[in-house]
Amino acid sequence: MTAKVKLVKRRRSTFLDRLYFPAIVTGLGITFKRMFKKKETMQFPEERWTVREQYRGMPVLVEDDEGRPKCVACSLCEYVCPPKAIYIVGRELEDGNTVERGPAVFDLNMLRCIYCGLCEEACPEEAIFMSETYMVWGAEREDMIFHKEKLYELGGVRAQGVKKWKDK
Amino acid sequence: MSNGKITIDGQVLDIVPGKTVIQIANDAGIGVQHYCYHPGLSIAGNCRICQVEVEGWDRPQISCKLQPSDGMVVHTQSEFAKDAREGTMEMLLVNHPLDCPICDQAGECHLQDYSYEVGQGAASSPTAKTNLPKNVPFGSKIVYDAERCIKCTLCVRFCEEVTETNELAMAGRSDHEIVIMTSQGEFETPYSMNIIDLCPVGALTSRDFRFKSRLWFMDFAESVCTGCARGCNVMTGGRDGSFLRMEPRENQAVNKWWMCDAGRLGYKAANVASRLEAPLVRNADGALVQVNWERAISAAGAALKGAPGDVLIDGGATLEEMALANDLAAAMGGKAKYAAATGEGDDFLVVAEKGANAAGAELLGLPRAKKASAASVVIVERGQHITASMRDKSGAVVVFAMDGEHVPDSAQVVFPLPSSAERNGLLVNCDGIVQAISSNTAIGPNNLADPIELIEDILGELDDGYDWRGRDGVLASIRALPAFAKVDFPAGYEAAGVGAGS
Ligand code: SF4
Ligand code: SF4
Ligand code: FES
Repeated sequence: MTAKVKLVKRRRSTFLDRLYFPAIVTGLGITFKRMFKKKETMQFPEERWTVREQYRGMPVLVEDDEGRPKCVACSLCEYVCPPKAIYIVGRELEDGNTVERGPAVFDLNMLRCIYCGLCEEACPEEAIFMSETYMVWGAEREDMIFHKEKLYELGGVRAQGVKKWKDK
Repeated sequence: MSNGKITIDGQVLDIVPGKTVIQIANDAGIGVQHYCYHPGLSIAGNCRICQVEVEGWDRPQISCKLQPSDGMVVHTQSEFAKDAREGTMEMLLVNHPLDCPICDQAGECHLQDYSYEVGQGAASSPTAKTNLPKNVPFGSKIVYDAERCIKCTLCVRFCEEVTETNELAMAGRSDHEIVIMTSQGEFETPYSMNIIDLCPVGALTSRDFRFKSRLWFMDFAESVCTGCARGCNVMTGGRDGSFLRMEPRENQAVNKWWMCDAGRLGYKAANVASRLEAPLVRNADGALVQVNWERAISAAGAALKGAPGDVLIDGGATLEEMALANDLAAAMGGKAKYAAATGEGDDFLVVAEKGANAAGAELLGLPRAKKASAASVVIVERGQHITASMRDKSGAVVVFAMDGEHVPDSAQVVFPLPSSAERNGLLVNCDGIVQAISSNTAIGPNNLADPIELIEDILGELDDGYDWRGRDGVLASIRALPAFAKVDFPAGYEAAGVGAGS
């Protein structure tokens, strides 16, 4: 079967078209008109979105209201994390600390994290939370691996939640 | 004469004199939950988790202590039995701290397993949990936690009945009952760490393994301890290249359920910083530089060709490796000999002979090197067998070593040796029992060549007509030796694929 082909003649650009200038003026005209109208989009980064508490941003570590880092290095988050973004090495806490165990290393690789929130769900100590932090950047790959100190700094204090080591 | 029959869960079983109901059930493959019962210790009957229903009796009975009688009908899974066990679980958990997130036992805890199985979400006791001593050192190797302890007395009974050293005792009463050490300081027995394995919960944990890894990240392999010629059967556990721990595996003919502390802690040699990870060849400047396996093998061939020499092999090497060392020595016109240290033994497990395969070497007809002598090839795994002076005075040009510290200055070619936890092969223990070590892939550097392949490749360099035999072929030639005619090899060793290839 032979295909039916209809040839359409193309309109050639006129002299005015080829000058481009009228098109630029029309375009700028639209831009100027918009400048004085109400803005439809958020002016990021000057203007920033306020997220709700339940927002699922970057996972961070928290301290309780007595300043005790809550993580006990149980590694359940490391185990449950689907993209293996968490790496933990446990250590024994100083003499007399009734919790006995805490992380020596807690590395969170934000190049891997998929923000699924399973770490928060698995944590028996309510030590890791999906924070409101949604801007995560780094100039190098190394910068995207967040260490324990930084994670505690970002997490701050959460007063509520389990404190089962209190009476030990 | 029959001793009568007992029916457990519908199975009609023979009564064996001296065996209680739990043992008869276990022998028939009917598992009954237990904490305080251990086949190697006396029966205490204090945890009460093994309760079963006996028809015609109106109370549940603890099966670990229950003497069977002819015609007895036992149910382990009836509502009545389950109810009794659930109640016991609740009692055991009344004061249990639920330390699972920080407890090293998590993942291998009988209490955890059984709670998971019978799963009771809430406790009905309104009182607060008791606070008891935690993180108490029992000697320098063991940590005791009285809150987690379920007072089963297994540890106390071990020190009373197996080692007869009585370091532990129960003190206090009711929910303030705890285990105490009867004397200050160290355990007298060199078998103390067995109580860590015995403890069904995390009340006794190892100071050495403390917080190193969660159990579920580790890989385990069945192997044999190479600390002395007893060859206690063990489980090796590792993660990410590190050897993290070793624990005994039951073998009634060798170590029963136990092993000594020194053997258990002897794994550390595999984790030294000076572990060799690639073959090395000495260059024109006299420095050892890393090369690929092919270059190293041909360099070894060139270094050994035409020069008669002996092979000195570690007393902990496997039968296969020793047999090939013998062939290598023959190809060089020399002989193979082995070296092994001797030390202290005791009347329980530890023997004075430290060469884990010294008996195997004797069966193969290898003479024992007692002092330093010349050798072209040295295969050294543990520094204490082939001592520093033996290594340095050998003048060896080809060296197989695990630890860079063990390489003598005379070495021209160095091959990295996998540790005994990373190799497969057979060892003959002090009683002539042949046992297999097997490789745990989570331990040691990646991609280390099997020494068996390497020795065969060197043989190929020395002899153009050499016929590669592989592990199976080597094993077959060992079995054909008259000295091995009456020796039993582990059943299924070749069939399991360990013997096949490598
Ligand atoms: S689950 Fe929670 S307590 Fe456990 S390691 Fe992760 S953050 Fe720490
Ligand atoms: S420490 Fe462990 S083995 Fe000893 S009594 Fe307590 S629970 Fe039993
Ligand atoms: S196992 Fe029977 S009472 Fe403990």
